[in-house]
Amino acid sequence: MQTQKKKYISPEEYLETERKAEFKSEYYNGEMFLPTGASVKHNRISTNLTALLHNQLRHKPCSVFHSDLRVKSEKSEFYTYPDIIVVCGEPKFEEKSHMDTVLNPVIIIEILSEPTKDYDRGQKFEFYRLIPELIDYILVAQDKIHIEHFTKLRENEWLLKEFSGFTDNIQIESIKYLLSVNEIYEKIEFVR
Amino acid sequence: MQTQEKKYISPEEYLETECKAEFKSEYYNGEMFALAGAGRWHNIICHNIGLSLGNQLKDKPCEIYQNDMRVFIDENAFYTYPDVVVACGEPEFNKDENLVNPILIIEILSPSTEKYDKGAKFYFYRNIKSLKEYILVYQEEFLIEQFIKQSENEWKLKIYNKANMAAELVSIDCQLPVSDIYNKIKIVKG
Repeated sequence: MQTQKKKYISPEEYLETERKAEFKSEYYNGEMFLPTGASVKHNRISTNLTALLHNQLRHKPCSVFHSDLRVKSEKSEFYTYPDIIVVCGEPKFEEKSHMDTVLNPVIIIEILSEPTKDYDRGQKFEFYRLIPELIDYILVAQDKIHIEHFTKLRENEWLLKEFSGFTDNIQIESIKYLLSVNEIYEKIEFVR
Repeated sequence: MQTQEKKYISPEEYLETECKAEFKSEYYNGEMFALAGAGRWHNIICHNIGLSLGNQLKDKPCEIYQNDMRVFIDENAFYTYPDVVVACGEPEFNKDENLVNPILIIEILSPSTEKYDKGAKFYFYRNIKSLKEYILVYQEEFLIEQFIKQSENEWKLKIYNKANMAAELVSIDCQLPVSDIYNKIKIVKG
């Protein structure tokens, strides 16, 4: 993530610029940030997850979106493009006239890249926690088999489980789905 | 955290330099990182926590260390100075006098190290077998995050964001009221 400008940008200015821009930027507290480009591994993991979730959700009232749908919590001025989100029921949008900023994901998945991994683990999660509908926050490493899965237990309480085994399964509470680690990393080779 | 040099530094070189140095540095994987000095609020919060826990631990077989106890994590060749560390029973040190069996670590977040403390550090700390609790205290808002180990690979996160709340420190059987932590702190959220 790189800062583009220092002068204060309002959320309205950000959204106006963003809707015309040729590349995506995230927004927080008066500043716009460029997400870093993704790698082949990043893309494969993202495709695997999207396909798995899509298949699982075909006959349920939930949808998977990846990379291009902006997310915001109603309680913050923080706009981001998560790698993958799942919305159940009707998506809620910030503005009905622009159905491009969604407010109610139940699952957010971030695939960790070296420059932004601390940010994803820390500050982003702090903002995502402000989304009342969010139940599962999942961080997927791409340089090794490692998944951090936060599940909301109740207000102000989450459970973090870590997975680093190929045969592990991850229970996704919000959609009652057992996600296999093996399938998330399908076709990914690790240098040992 | 700031990188001082790029050439590989061995843990031995680090420890030798560190013994003689006038300021503290942390070490990870061949690199040394100078620690930023702490500001007014950071200092007060750290003192408040020390005071509150110190009193409660007076008659328990636990020791509390602030700022200057170096902790070593073998799996990652990582040496660090947490803001507050507690060890219970007999504290264990490796040959270079680094604590290896903390039960509780508390970090007070500074804007410059926030991402690192929340992300990479906890990731490393989770490799410490003796560690049962990890607590992050924010300076710029009433916010405390408490991670409690449930079992291998499983931690519960509890969030405290109101002045009338108190964190239950299960590992050392103490209470840490939010109002104690933030005594004399003016919250200036920028």
